[in-house]
Amino acid sequence: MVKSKHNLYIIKTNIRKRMLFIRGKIIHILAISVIILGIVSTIYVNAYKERNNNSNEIIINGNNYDISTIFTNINEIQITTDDGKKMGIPLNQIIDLLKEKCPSCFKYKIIGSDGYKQTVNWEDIEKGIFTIEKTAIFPHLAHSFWVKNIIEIEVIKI
Amino acid sequence: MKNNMRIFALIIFFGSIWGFSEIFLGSFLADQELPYDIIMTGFFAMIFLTISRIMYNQKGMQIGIGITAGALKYFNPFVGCNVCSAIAIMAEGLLFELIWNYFINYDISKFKSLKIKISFGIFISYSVYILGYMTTQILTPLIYSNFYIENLISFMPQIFSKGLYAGIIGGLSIPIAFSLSNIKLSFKDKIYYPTTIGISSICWIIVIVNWYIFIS
Repeated sequence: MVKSKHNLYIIKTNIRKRMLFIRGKIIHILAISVIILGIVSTIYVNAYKERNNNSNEIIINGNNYDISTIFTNINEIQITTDDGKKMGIPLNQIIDLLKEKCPSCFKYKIIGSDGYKQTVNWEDIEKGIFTIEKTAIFPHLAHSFWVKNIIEIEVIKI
Repeated sequence: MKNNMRIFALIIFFGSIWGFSEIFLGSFLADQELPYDIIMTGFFAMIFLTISRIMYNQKGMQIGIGITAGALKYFNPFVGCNVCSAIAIMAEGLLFELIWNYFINYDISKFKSLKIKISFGIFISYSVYILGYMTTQILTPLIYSNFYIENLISFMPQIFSKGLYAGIIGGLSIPIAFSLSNIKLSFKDKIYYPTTIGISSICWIIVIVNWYIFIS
Protein backbone atom coordinates (compact mmCIF):
# COMPACT_ATOMS: atom_id res chain seq x y z
CA MET A 1 0.00 0.00 0.00
CA VAL A 2 2.77 2.38 1.03
CA LYS A 3 4.81 1.35 -2.00
CA SER A 4 1.94 2.01 -4.41
CA LYS A 5 1.40 5.44 -2.84
CA HIS A 6 5.09 6.16 -3.30
CA ASN A 7 4.90 5.04 -6.95
CA LEU A 8 1.90 7.26 -7.53
CA TYR A 9 3.81 10.21 -6.05
CA ILE A 10 6.76 9.54 -8.38
CA ILE A 11 4.46 9.32 -11.41
CA LYS A 12 2.73 12.58 -10.41
CA THR A 13 6.09 14.33 -9.94
CA ASN A 14 7.31 13.13 -13.32
CA ILE A 15 4.13 14.32 -15.05
CA ARG A 16 4.49 17.68 -13.31
CA LYS A 17 8.13 18.00 -14.39
CA ARG A 18 7.19 17.07 -17.97
CA MET A 19 4.36 19.65 -17.96
CA LEU A 20 6.70 22.37 -16.72
CA PHE A 21 9.23 21.47 -19.41
CA ILE A 22 6.55 21.61 -22.12
CA ARG A 23 5.15 24.91 -20.85
CA GLY A 24 8.66 26.37 -20.75
CA LYS A 25 9.14 25.36 -24.38
CA ILE A 26 5.71 26.79 -25.30
CA ILE A 27 6.65 30.16 -23.77
CA HIS A 28 9.86 30.32 -25.87
CA ILE A 29 7.93 29.38 -29.02
CA LEU A 30 5.26 32.00 -28.28
CA ALA A 31 7.89 34.69 -27.69
CA ILE A 32 9.63 33.89 -30.99
CA SER A 33 6.24 33.81 -32.77
CA VAL A 34 5.20 37.25 -31.56
CA ILE A 35 8.61 38.70 -32.52
CA ILE A 36 8.27 37.27 -36.04
CA LEU A 37 4.69 38.57 -36.28
CA GLY A 38 5.85 42.02 -35.13
CA ILE A 39 8.76 42.15 -37.59
CA VAL A 40 6.65 41.02 -40.57
CA SER A 41 3.93 43.55 -39.67
CA THR A 42 6.49 46.36 -39.32
CA ILE A 43 7.88 45.61 -42.80
CA TYR A 44 4.34 45.56 -44.24
CA VAL A 45 3.28 48.78 -42.47
CA ASN A 46 6.39 50.68 -43.63
CA ALA A 47 5.91 49.52 -47.23
CA TYR A 48 2.21 50.56 -47.08
CA LYS A 49 3.07 53.98 -45.62
CA GLU A 50 5.81 54.56 -48.20
CA ARG A 51 3.30 53.92 -50.97
CA ASN A 52 0.66 56.34 -49.63
CA ASN A 53 2.51 59.01 -47.71
CA ASN A 54 3.66 61.52 -50.28
CA SER A 55 0.42 62.26 -52.06
CA ASN A 56 -0.97 65.79 -52.03
CA GLU A 57 -4.27 64.45 -53.22
CA ILE A 58 -7.27 62.96 -51.53
CA ILE A 59 -9.57 60.41 -53.12
CA ILE A 60 -13.25 61.02 -52.44
CA ASN A 61 -15.62 58.38 -53.74
CA GLY A 62 -13.07 57.34 -56.38
CA ASN A 63 -12.30 60.89 -57.60
CA ASN A 64 -8.94 62.56 -57.00
CA TYR A 65 -8.92 66.07 -55.49
CA ASP A 66 -5.91 68.32 -54.98
CA ILE A 67 -5.71 69.30 -51.31
CA SER A 68 -4.25 72.78 -51.89
CA THR A 69 -7.06 73.51 -54.36
CA ILE A 70 -9.64 72.42 -51.78
CA PHE A 71 -8.08 74.74 -49.21
CA THR A 72 -8.06 77.62 -51.71
CA ASN A 73 -11.74 77.18 -52.56
CA ILE A 74 -13.20 76.49 -49.13
CA ASN A 75 -12.83 78.79 -46.14
CA GLU A 76 -11.26 77.41 -42.97
CA ILE A 77 -13.15 77.53 -39.69
CA GLN A 78 -12.04 77.18 -36.10
CA ILE A 79 -13.59 74.65 -33.75
CA THR A 80 -13.06 73.94 -30.06
CA THR A 81 -12.12 70.42 -29.06
CA ASP A 82 -11.01 68.81 -25.81
CA ASP A 83 -7.52 69.07 -27.29
CA GLY A 84 -7.73 72.85 -27.78
CA LYS A 85 -8.77 74.96 -30.77
CA LYS A 86 -8.35 73.46 -34.25
CA MET A 87 -8.45 75.04 -37.71
CA GLY A 88 -9.69 73.29 -40.83
CA ILE A 89 -12.30 73.18 -43.53
CA PRO A 90 -15.72 71.71 -42.75
CA LEU A 91 -15.82 68.08 -43.84
CA ASN A 92 -19.37 68.46 -45.13
CA GLN A 93 -18.18 71.06 -47.63
CA ILE A 94 -15.63 68.56 -48.97
CA ILE A 95 -18.38 65.98 -49.38
CA ASP A 96 -20.50 68.65 -51.09
CA LEU A 97 -17.92 68.58 -53.90
CA LEU A 98 -19.53 65.26 -54.90
CA LYS A 99 -22.84 67.08 -55.45
CA GLU A 100 -24.75 64.23 -53.83
CA LYS A 101 -28.45 65.02 -53.44
CA CYS A 102 -28.86 63.05 -50.25
CA PRO A 103 -25.57 63.06 -48.31
CA SER A 104 -27.33 61.75 -45.21
CA CYS A 105 -28.21 58.57 -47.15
CA PHE A 106 -24.57 57.48 -46.97
CA LYS A 107 -21.91 56.47 -44.47
CA TYR A 108 -18.37 57.77 -44.88
CA LYS A 109 -15.30 55.61 -44.43
CA ILE A 110 -12.25 57.76 -43.75
CA ILE A 111 -8.95 56.04 -44.55
CA GLY A 112 -5.49 57.08 -43.32
CA SER A 113 -2.14 56.43 -45.03
CA ASP A 114 -1.28 53.80 -42.39
CA GLY A 115 -4.44 51.79 -43.13
CA TYR A 116 -6.37 53.21 -40.16
CA LYS A 117 -10.09 53.50 -40.98
CA GLN A 118 -13.13 54.91 -39.26
CA THR A 119 -16.71 54.95 -40.52
CA VAL A 120 -18.92 57.89 -39.58
CA ASN A 121 -22.43 59.18 -40.35
CA TRP A 122 -23.41 62.39 -42.10
CA GLU A 123 -24.25 63.94 -38.68
CA ASP A 124 -20.62 63.36 -37.68
CA ILE A 125 -19.33 64.74 -41.00
CA GLU A 126 -21.36 67.91 -40.41
CA LYS A 127 -19.53 68.51 -37.13
CA GLY A 128 -16.05 67.49 -38.33
CA ILE A 129 -13.22 69.40 -39.99
CA PHE A 130 -10.34 68.50 -42.30
CA THR A 131 -7.05 70.14 -41.34
CA ILE A 132 -4.14 71.16 -43.54
CA GLU A 133 -2.19 68.26 -41.97
CA LYS A 134 -4.80 65.98 -43.62
CA THR A 135 -6.40 64.99 -40.30
CA ALA A 136 -10.14 64.53 -39.75
CA ILE A 137 -11.20 65.98 -36.41
CA PHE A 138 -14.58 65.30 -34.82
CA PRO A 139 -15.00 67.36 -31.65
CA HIS A 140 -17.95 65.30 -30.41
CA LEU A 141 -16.33 61.88 -30.89
CA ALA A 142 -13.50 59.99 -29.17
CA HIS A 143 -10.02 60.61 -30.53
CA SER A 144 -9.94 57.13 -32.01
CA PHE A 145 -12.25 58.61 -34.69
CA TRP A 146 -9.68 61.29 -35.57
CA VAL A 147 -7.99 59.85 -38.64
CA LYS A 148 -4.52 61.19 -39.44
CA ASN A 149 -2.97 61.65 -42.86
CA ILE A 150 -6.17 60.91 -44.79
CA ILE A 151 -5.72 59.50 -48.28
CA GLU A 152 -9.30 58.53 -49.09
CA ILE A 153 -12.93 59.00 -48.12
CA GLU A 154 -15.18 56.19 -49.29
CA VAL A 155 -18.88 56.90 -49.66
CA ILE A 156 -21.01 53.89 -48.71
CA LYS A 157 -24.73 53.53 -49.34
CA ILE A 158 -26.59 52.73 -46.12
CA MET B 1 -11.48 39.02 6.38
CA LYS B 2 -8.36 40.82 7.56
CA ASN B 3 -6.41 39.39 4.62
CA ASN B 4 -9.16 40.50 2.20
CA MET B 5 -8.90 44.04 3.54
CA ARG B 6 -5.12 44.01 3.06
CA ILE B 7 -5.51 42.81 -0.55
CA PHE B 8 -8.22 45.40 -1.23
CA ALA B 9 -5.96 48.16 0.10
CA LEU B 10 -3.14 46.88 -2.12
CA ILE B 11 -5.37 46.80 -5.22
CA ILE B 12 -6.29 50.45 -4.64
CA PHE B 13 -2.63 51.28 -3.89
CA PHE B 14 -1.11 49.67 -7.01
CA GLY B 15 -3.99 50.81 -9.23
CA SER B 16 -3.66 54.41 -8.02
CA ILE B 17 0.10 54.50 -8.59
CA TRP B 18 -0.28 52.97 -12.05
CA GLY B 19 -3.10 55.39 -13.00
CA PHE B 20 -1.14 58.34 -11.55
CA SER B 21 1.99 57.45 -13.55
CA GLU B 22 -0.12 56.94 -16.69
CA ILE B 23 -1.53 60.46 -16.37
CA PHE B 24 1.57 62.45 -15.46
CA LEU B 25 4.44 60.39 -16.85
CA GLY B 26 2.41 59.20 -19.85
CA SER B 27 1.45 62.79 -20.71
CA PHE B 28 5.06 63.93 -20.29
CA LEU B 29 6.27 61.18 -22.63
CA ALA B 30 3.52 62.08 -25.13
CA ASP B 31 4.66 65.74 -25.04
CA GLN B 32 8.20 64.57 -25.87
CA GLU B 33 6.62 62.80 -28.89
CA LEU B 34 7.68 59.42 -27.53
CA PRO B 35 5.46 56.34 -28.00
CA TYR B 36 4.01 56.71 -24.50
CA ASP B 37 1.41 53.94 -24.84
CA ILE B 38 4.10 51.39 -25.71
CA ILE B 39 6.40 52.53 -22.89
CA MET B 40 3.61 52.71 -20.33
CA THR B 41 2.33 49.20 -21.14
CA GLY B 42 5.67 47.53 -21.78
CA PHE B 43 7.41 48.96 -18.75
CA PHE B 44 5.19 50.48 -16.07
CA ALA B 45 2.11 48.28 -16.42
CA MET B 46 4.23 45.13 -16.56
CA ILE B 47 6.30 46.18 -13.53
CA PHE B 48 3.28 47.10 -11.36
CA LEU B 49 1.25 44.05 -12.35
CA THR B 50 4.08 41.55 -12.05
CA ILE B 51 5.41 42.81 -8.71
CA SER B 52 1.93 42.90 -7.17
CA ARG B 53 1.21 39.39 -8.42
CA ILE B 54 4.49 37.79 -7.32
CA MET B 55 4.52 39.46 -3.90
CA TYR B 56 0.92 38.70 -2.96
CA ASN B 57 -0.04 35.88 -5.39
CA GLN B 58 -3.75 36.73 -5.23
CA LYS B 59 -5.99 35.68 -8.12
CA GLY B 60 -8.11 38.49 -9.52
CA MET B 61 -5.90 41.19 -8.02
CA GLN B 62 -4.65 42.43 -11.39
CA ILE B 63 -8.20 42.91 -12.69
CA GLY B 64 -8.89 45.14 -9.68
CA ILE B 65 -5.64 47.07 -10.20
CA GLY B 66 -6.57 47.62 -13.87
CA ILE B 67 -10.06 48.85 -12.96
CA THR B 68 -8.66 51.27 -10.35
CA ALA B 69 -5.98 52.61 -12.72
CA GLY B 70 -8.50 52.92 -15.57
CA ALA B 71 -10.97 54.76 -13.33
CA LEU B 72 -8.24 57.21 -12.30
CA LYS B 73 -7.10 57.64 -15.92
CA TYR B 74 -10.64 58.70 -16.79
CA PHE B 75 -9.91 61.96 -14.98
CA ASN B 76 -6.93 62.72 -17.17
CA PRO B 77 -7.29 66.26 -18.53
CA PHE B 78 -4.18 66.07 -20.74
CA VAL B 79 -5.33 63.45 -23.24
CA GLY B 80 -8.50 63.90 -25.24
CA CYS B 81 -9.73 60.34 -25.39
CA ASN B 82 -10.33 59.53 -21.74
CA VAL B 83 -12.71 56.71 -22.57
CA CYS B 84 -10.24 54.94 -24.88
CA SER B 85 -7.36 55.10 -22.42
CA ALA B 86 -9.53 54.04 -19.46
CA ILE B 87 -10.84 51.05 -21.44
CA ALA B 88 -7.30 50.15 -22.58
CA ILE B 89 -5.94 50.09 -19.01
CA MET B 90 -8.84 48.05 -17.66
CA ALA B 91 -8.45 45.58 -20.53
CA GLU B 92 -4.71 45.34 -19.87
CA GLY B 93 -5.31 44.37 -16.24
CA LEU B 94 -7.80 41.69 -17.28
CA LEU B 95 -5.60 40.28 -20.05
CA PHE B 96 -2.55 40.17 -17.80
CA GLU B 97 -4.57 38.22 -15.24
CA LEU B 98 -5.76 35.69 -17.83
CA ILE B 99 -2.33 35.08 -19.37
CA TRP B 100 -0.60 34.91 -15.98
CA ASN B 101 -3.16 32.45 -14.65
CA TYR B 102 -2.66 30.18 -17.63
CA PHE B 103 1.13 30.17 -17.69
CA ILE B 104 2.43 30.87 -14.23
CA ASN B 105 -0.20 30.29 -11.62
CA TYR B 106 0.71 26.65 -11.12
CA ASP B 107 4.10 27.40 -9.57
CA ILE B 108 5.95 30.65 -9.77
CA SER B 109 9.16 29.21 -8.29
CA LYS B 110 9.77 27.32 -11.54
CA PHE B 111 10.36 30.59 -13.38
CA LYS B 112 14.01 30.60 -12.42
CA SER B 113 15.99 30.99 -15.62
CA LEU B 114 16.50 34.44 -17.09
CA LYS B 115 15.72 33.06 -20.56
CA ILE B 116 12.22 31.98 -19.59
CA LYS B 117 11.56 35.28 -17.81
CA ILE B 118 12.61 37.23 -20.93
CA SER B 119 10.49 35.01 -23.22
CA PHE B 120 7.51 35.32 -20.92
CA GLY B 121 8.04 39.11 -20.72
CA ILE B 122 8.07 39.44 -24.50
CA PHE B 123 4.97 37.30 -24.91
CA ILE B 124 2.84 38.78 -22.12
CA SER B 125 3.75 42.39 -22.88
CA TYR B 126 3.11 41.93 -26.63
CA SER B 127 -0.20 40.13 -26.01
CA VAL B 128 -1.45 42.57 -23.39
CA TYR B 129 -0.57 45.55 -25.62
CA ILE B 130 -2.15 44.30 -28.86
CA LEU B 131 -5.23 42.78 -27.23
CA GLY B 132 -5.74 45.91 -25.11
CA TYR B 133 -5.41 48.06 -28.24
CA MET B 134 -7.96 45.88 -30.07
CA THR B 135 -10.38 46.01 -27.14
CA THR B 136 -10.24 49.81 -27.25
CA GLN B 137 -10.74 49.82 -31.01
CA ILE B 138 -13.85 47.67 -30.57
CA LEU B 139 -15.41 49.22 -27.46
CA THR B 140 -14.83 52.92 -28.20
CA PRO B 141 -16.74 52.92 -31.53
CA LEU B 142 -19.48 50.87 -29.85
CA ILE B 143 -19.86 53.54 -27.16
CA TYR B 144 -20.08 56.38 -29.70
CA SER B 145 -21.78 54.80 -32.71
CA ASN B 146 -21.16 51.53 -34.52
CA PHE B 147 -18.24 49.18 -34.70
CA TYR B 148 -17.10 47.99 -38.13
CA ILE B 149 -14.96 44.86 -38.05
CA GLU B 150 -13.36 45.61 -41.44
CA ASN B 151 -11.92 48.85 -40.03
CA LEU B 152 -10.20 46.88 -37.27
CA ILE B 153 -8.94 44.12 -39.57
CA SER B 154 -7.34 46.59 -41.96
CA PHE B 155 -5.52 48.23 -39.03
CA MET B 156 -4.28 44.94 -37.52
CA PRO B 157 -0.80 45.05 -39.14
CA GLN B 158 -0.24 48.47 -37.53
CA ILE B 159 -1.26 47.10 -34.09
CA PHE B 160 0.93 43.98 -34.49
CA SER B 161 3.82 46.19 -35.53
CA LYS B 162 3.53 48.54 -32.53
CA GLY B 163 3.25 45.51 -30.26
CA LEU B 164 6.79 44.48 -31.24
CA TYR B 165 8.28 47.40 -29.29
CA ALA B 166 6.02 46.71 -26.30
CA GLY B 167 7.19 43.08 -26.42
CA ILE B 168 10.88 44.04 -26.46
CA ILE B 169 10.38 46.41 -23.52
CA GLY B 170 8.44 43.66 -21.71
CA GLY B 171 11.38 41.30 -22.25
CA LEU B 172 13.43 43.69 -20.10
CA SER B 173 10.82 44.82 -17.59
CA ILE B 174 9.50 41.41 -16.53
CA PRO B 175 12.93 40.10 -15.37
CA ILE B 176 13.41 43.41 -13.52
CA ALA B 177 9.99 42.98 -11.86
CA PHE B 178 10.90 39.40 -10.85
CA SER B 179 14.10 40.70 -9.23
CA LEU B 180 12.36 43.58 -7.47
CA SER B 181 9.69 41.29 -6.07
CA ASN B 182 12.37 39.32 -4.18
CA ILE B 183 12.69 42.24 -1.80
CA LYS B 184 10.90 41.23 1.36
CA LEU B 185 8.76 43.94 2.90
CA SER B 186 6.51 43.49 5.86
CA PHE B 187 4.53 46.18 7.58
CA LYS B 188 2.45 46.07 10.70
CA ASP B 189 -1.22 47.01 10.27
CA LYS B 190 -0.54 50.24 12.13
CA ILE B 191 1.72 51.43 9.31
CA TYR B 192 0.31 49.31 6.47
CA TYR B 193 -3.17 50.84 6.14
CA PRO B 194 -2.23 54.51 6.63
CA THR B 195 0.61 54.12 4.09
CA THR B 196 -1.38 52.37 1.32
CA ILE B 197 -4.57 54.39 1.80
CA GLY B 198 -2.61 57.63 2.29
CA ILE B 199 -0.57 57.26 -0.92
CA SER B 200 -3.65 56.17 -2.90
CA SER B 201 -5.64 59.17 -1.59
CA ILE B 202 -2.84 61.57 -2.50
CA CYS B 203 -2.80 60.19 -6.08
CA TRP B 204 -6.58 60.59 -6.43
CA ILE B 205 -6.68 64.06 -4.85
CA ILE B 206 -3.88 65.39 -7.08
CA VAL B 207 -5.49 63.96 -10.23
CA ILE B 208 -9.01 65.18 -9.46
CA VAL B 209 -7.86 68.67 -8.35
CA ASN B 210 -5.68 68.90 -11.47
CA TRP B 211 -8.59 67.78 -13.65
CA TYR B 212 -10.93 70.30 -11.99
CA ILE B 213 -8.44 73.16 -12.48
CA PHE B 214 -7.86 72.15 -16.10
CA ILE B 215 -11.58 71.87 -16.89
CA SER B 216 -12.57 75.12 -15.17
